[in-house]
Amino acid sequence: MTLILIIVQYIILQPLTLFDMKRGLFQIMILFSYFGICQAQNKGETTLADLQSPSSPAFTILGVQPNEISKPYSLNALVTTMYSSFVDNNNLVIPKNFAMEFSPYWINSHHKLFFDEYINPSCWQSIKQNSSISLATTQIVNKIDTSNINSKMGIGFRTMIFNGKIEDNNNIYSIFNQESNLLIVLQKNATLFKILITPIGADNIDTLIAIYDREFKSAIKDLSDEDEKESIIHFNEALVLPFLKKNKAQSKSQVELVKNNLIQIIDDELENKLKEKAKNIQKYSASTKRTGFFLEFAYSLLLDFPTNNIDYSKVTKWGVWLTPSYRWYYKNQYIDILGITRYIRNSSTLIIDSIFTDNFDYGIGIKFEDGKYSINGEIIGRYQSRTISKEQIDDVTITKSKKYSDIHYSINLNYKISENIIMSYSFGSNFQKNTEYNSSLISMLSLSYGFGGITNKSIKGM
Amino acid sequence: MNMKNVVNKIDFTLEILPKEYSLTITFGEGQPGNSALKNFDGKYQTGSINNLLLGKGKSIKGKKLLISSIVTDANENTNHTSVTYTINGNEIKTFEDDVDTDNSSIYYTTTINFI
Repeated sequence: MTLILIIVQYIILQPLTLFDMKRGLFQIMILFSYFGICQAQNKGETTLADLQSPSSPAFTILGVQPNEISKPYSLNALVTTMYSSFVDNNNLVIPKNFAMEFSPYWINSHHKLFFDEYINPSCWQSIKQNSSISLATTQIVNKIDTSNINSKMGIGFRTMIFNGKIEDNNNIYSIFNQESNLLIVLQKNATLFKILITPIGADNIDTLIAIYDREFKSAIKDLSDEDEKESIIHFNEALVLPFLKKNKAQSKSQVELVKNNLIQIIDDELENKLKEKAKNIQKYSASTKRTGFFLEFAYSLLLDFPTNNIDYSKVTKWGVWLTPSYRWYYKNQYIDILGITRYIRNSSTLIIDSIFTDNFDYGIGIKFEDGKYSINGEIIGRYQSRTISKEQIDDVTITKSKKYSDIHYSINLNYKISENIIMSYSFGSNFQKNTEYNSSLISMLSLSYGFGGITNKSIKGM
Repeated sequence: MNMKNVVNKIDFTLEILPKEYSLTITFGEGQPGNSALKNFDGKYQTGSINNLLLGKGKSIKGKKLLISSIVTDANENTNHTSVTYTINGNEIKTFEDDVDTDNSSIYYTTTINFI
């Protein structure tokens, strides 16, 4: 078990008054619980990560984390899922707890989407191939009339307008490129073996070996790449020839049996290697490994069904997220600059003293790691307009509203003293006035110790 | 377990016998694939087949071309694969199938009969 010991913690109630003992409070705390300090630190804080485009906008706007999410991969599966959930006795109904997420683009076939374009897509292709639609329903007790349970539905869309690149100037690209090339060589081995062995008809094993060997030498002669040639020769000498030479088939049917057994052995051998390469290609082409410009977009809306009838609904909340970011790869580390813009209009009846609120968050942050050091900082601005009433007098509409704006900033510096000891210093200011949170600053120095962990030996001994 | 092997035949009618014919094989769904074949001149071709010259219509008429292709599922969004055969710029046939499990591979063994 890892135990984190926090030795010193400074908590100053107002920012930039570190040494003002009249207003400040100095505490030295020895805490033996890692979770205790985490909660103290995170309580009431909003970070850029919280405001990024959600991966499933419908679930976010509905405020649910479904345990089971339907993910139809074909049109038939999508229609079946929708029909079984929304149709009962030929009537449209609102399911009680339903969650679904699917990618409209991947429901269809795309014969002309080649591997290279999929890996490094154009802007339009990125929008298409990264788009997803989420849909969820739930039932919530009305806070004003608790005897009333309302059905609610969240509908969301998200995509990546730009998804970075696999750029040919870093280690990640080298690994990706190496894995892709190895996959190509394995695929060439597989198809060449098939094209050599399939047409051969022979009455005994010696004839089969002779024909195979002759054709193999001819095929090798036609290969231009020396590395590929070497790999295919190795494949042939290590797997194919030894298997054929140890068999004593003396009839056509026996030779066919040997051929089929050999094909199965080669398939098994190659299948596992190809799987490993395919997994690595996925891993090293994922968004987290890419560099360059990223732009993520999400939109969602919340439908309220006051009568629990699908024929009558109103939009009570909707939001738009736009998350731009830029990532560099420098000295085997990533440097990230992340921006966020989020707008949410909320006219939910749960907000009793308002007709609706407009919430706009915007911010920018940077994260950098270099071996022992890591720095991350962020600034988030928040604007909220709360419309309390609208009154029509003759031709004039009188709107009463309250407006708030606030700002949050923080900088975290970490220094890895040794493998198990990290010294961290955080300072900044949280939102002070308004909207959802009510805490201020923060200046904190901490030492984190990690004492051991679960070892293979301890697991085996359990 | 053997990799899935999808076996197909295509009958291709050579309309202009003096004309040169060339073959291109492409793989869709964002999946990587490669092919191997023994051309009519006896030479083996492996890898990407792009505008491979097969010969004049009169020289390949009545012949069969055996093509082995393989596609590996490296696309996390779909298990679907497809291979398209194009002769002289015209798509003549697309075959498609799903791999059985994530990251598996699938063979397409296709014989084109030039008639």
